[in-house]
Amino acid sequence: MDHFLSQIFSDTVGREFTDQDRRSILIRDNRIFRHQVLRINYTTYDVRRNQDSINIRTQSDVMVLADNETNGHPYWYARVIGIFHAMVRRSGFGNEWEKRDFLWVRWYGLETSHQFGFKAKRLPRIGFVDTDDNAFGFIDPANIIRAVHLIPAFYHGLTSELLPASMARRKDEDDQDYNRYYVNM
Amino acid sequence: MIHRNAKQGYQRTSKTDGFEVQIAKHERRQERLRTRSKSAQEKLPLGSPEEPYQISKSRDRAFDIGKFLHDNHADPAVKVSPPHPSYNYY
Repeated sequence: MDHFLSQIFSDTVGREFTDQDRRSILIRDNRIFRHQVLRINYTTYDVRRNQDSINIRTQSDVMVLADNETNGHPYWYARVIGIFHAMVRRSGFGNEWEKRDFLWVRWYGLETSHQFGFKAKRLPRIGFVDTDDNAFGFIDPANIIRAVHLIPAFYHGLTSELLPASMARRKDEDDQDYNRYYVNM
Repeated sequence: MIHRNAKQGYQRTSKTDGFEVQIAKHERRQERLRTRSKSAQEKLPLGSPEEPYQISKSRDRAFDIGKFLHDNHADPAVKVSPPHPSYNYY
């Protein structure tokens, strides 16, 4: 809950949130509104505008800019498992309720020991992070670069060990994930 | 298309007197099903290309945060962390 609140006010990034900060965030009627689709406008490589449609039941994998290039890779990948908005206000900052959109995501982790890129002639390989390992988060839809096309790495098989039965999965996934996915580029 | 649909519809009738009514009823049923499946989807009108993204303003699917967290407290997906996944695998 704390994280959720702090995420909503991303304008204060750069400092730690205090409990007082968290208490200052008000959500109207304690209600959140759920959505099924989201459209991302982005600039293509040839500097044209294009649009991706994200649907939590069909096409829901996205990329965002990483905070740092720790592994020499500038992107983070995530699966959108919820699209929401809420009417939010910060006490002491006027009486206007503001519509805030946010996405609930399940993070992928990059497999750093796997060589990829044009030189290696391989696609980047990612996999869902373990549930104990900050596997879920919220992101601001404005931070999404675009949708990504992931290809399940069939060779590495399916697993149900990363996450027990959960609403984070789609209904047709039988409570399983692929161990690895290739990021198409 | 319309002239063909009507002819295909004949296959589903009893082929006796009054089959016209049967075709008409069948068409009405099909149409009702079509509109119903459409309304089950979320509508999102075209948005401004200036905006980085677009999300519906619809308030149809609301839920209460407290109740949601209570109902799903056992689901690990509810435990959300700040956006710093330890982005290392192995």
